[in-house]
Amino acid sequence: MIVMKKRNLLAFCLIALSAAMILSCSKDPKVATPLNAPVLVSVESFIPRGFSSKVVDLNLRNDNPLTVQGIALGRRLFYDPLLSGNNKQSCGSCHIQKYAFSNGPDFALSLGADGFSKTRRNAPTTFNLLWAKSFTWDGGQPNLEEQVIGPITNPVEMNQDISLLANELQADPNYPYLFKKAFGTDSITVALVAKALAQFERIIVSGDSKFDLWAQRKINLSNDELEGYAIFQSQTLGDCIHCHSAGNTFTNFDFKHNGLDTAMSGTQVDVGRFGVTHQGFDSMMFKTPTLRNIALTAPYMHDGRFKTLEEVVEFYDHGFYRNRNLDVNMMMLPKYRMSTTQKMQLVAFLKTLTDTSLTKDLRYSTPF
Amino acid sequence: MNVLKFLIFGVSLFFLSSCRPNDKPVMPNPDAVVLFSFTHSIQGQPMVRSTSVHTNKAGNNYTIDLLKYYISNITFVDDKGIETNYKNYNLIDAFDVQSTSFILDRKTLNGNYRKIKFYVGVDQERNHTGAQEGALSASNGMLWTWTFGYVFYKLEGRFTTASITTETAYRNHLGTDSALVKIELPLLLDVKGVDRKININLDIDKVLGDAASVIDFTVDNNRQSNIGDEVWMKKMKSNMANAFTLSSVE
Repeated sequence: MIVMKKRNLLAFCLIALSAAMILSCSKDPKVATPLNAPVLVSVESFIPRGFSSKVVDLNLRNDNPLTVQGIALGRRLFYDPLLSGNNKQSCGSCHIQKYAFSNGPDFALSLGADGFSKTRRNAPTTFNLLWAKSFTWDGGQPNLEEQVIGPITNPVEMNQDISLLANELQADPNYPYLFKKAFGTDSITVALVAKALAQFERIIVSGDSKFDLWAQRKINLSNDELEGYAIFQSQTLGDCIHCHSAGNTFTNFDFKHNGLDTAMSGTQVDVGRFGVTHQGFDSMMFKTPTLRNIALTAPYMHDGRFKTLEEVVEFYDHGFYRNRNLDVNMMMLPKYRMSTTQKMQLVAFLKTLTDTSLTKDLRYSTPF
Repeated sequence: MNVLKFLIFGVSLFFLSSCRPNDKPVMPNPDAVVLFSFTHSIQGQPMVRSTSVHTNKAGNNYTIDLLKYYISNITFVDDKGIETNYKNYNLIDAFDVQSTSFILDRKTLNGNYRKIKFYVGVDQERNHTGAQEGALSASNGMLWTWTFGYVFYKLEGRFTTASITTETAYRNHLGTDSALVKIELPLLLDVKGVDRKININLDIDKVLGDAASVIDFTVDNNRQSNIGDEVWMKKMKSNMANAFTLSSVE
């Protein structure tokens, strides 16, 4: 069965479908037609070319298989302000498609549903989460299903009373039916809300940037862009790849101290990963974010302190502090090692990681 | 087009799975499953990330922030000299317990095994084939470039000496085809249809060597298997060959 060829499989499906249709036609008309079971979605159907589809590389969960109906429900929930306490904010309010699901250039920190509360950190992007190893800046959430509830209930974000969420959705004219279609039950629970949101977020993928097209030998990059790629990889110039790994993810998913601050002085400094592990060596470490679509996701760093890519490159060229916990590879880098031209070329390369198909794909956009 | 593909795959998978009577794959009755567990020590003491300070034979006082390496091509040799080879590639991260133990792909092991062999690193066959998956995924941060290949072994941390009193960073990244380390350990493993566990220890003090082969961070603090690192690479290779021990078989 497993080794069935694709064509056979298709034929098999068609036969099965026709059989199902014939069967359903012959049923007693007085019996209400039962809802079709959710249709499974295979990851191969949407994973970009060259990306790993190996189960060990994907954060899929056996208890939450991707289905057409589950994804559709998750998409609706993602964009529905009903999920916030005052019904004014959705997940999509801060994870905006045109900014590659970041909050856009105006918000270093995001505003809560109340319009004035501020989040503690910059809104991370929500694409290519299928390959993520943990969630949020400090990796405090190992599972997507658990993470998605965090911003919904956080008082400075969507501020929803979790005990009311299921009831609110239950009272909606559409949701019970949509949950029934996706999960076989119209009895809505927070766990099912989380599952649907996670399904939708898992299918948001980005792998069609200029860089990808170049890697597939379909287009050429300019000389500056190519030089920039060499600088990106060079251990004496950009030295970006130690953390923003070569390959497809442009992150090694590790937690690193990148020299943003000198020490844990004052109350302004965010302890980062330390808050999760309470280990001194994790102090002020944050997860390496992906560089895909980086030109769309300003401002930068966990607190959005840098407004432009040029500022970020200046920081890594000479602005970083040699803190005790600074990543060993950065510790070895001399300051002022890149020329003005090289810095410009590095930025030119980073811009090739922009994928406009992500920002325009209707499958990821609001259904409302 | 994409939507259509999406649907066809989805529908096919759905029907395929619904027709399978039982999701559990039928096992070909394996004689045994062998679990590997790697531990790490420094002069017999357990290795603690970043906080514990150790002294090597060169008099460097050092800490370890990161230790990652590949274990591949595990081969069992039985009492008749017959070899059972696994084309495995496993990435060990000393500070990630999920990575330090692994089960090899199930394959019948039945006999009296007297030797175990493996590589530290990635063999030539897979060292230059570009983006790969699982342990060999570029996302693990162990790939330099596709031509240069993988970092086989990565040790990073800080050190001080009597004269260098400021904590100074070091990194030892061993790789390139010629640096593939071949390990061979004596083994007494008689597999008779029960699961077994093999515990292997890596002592970093031994990797850092002694006398003529000592790794001294005052000169070896930035070794990445580049041109000029040949002497260091040679030392690492011979030190590492003696740094693994079979601690026990359960």
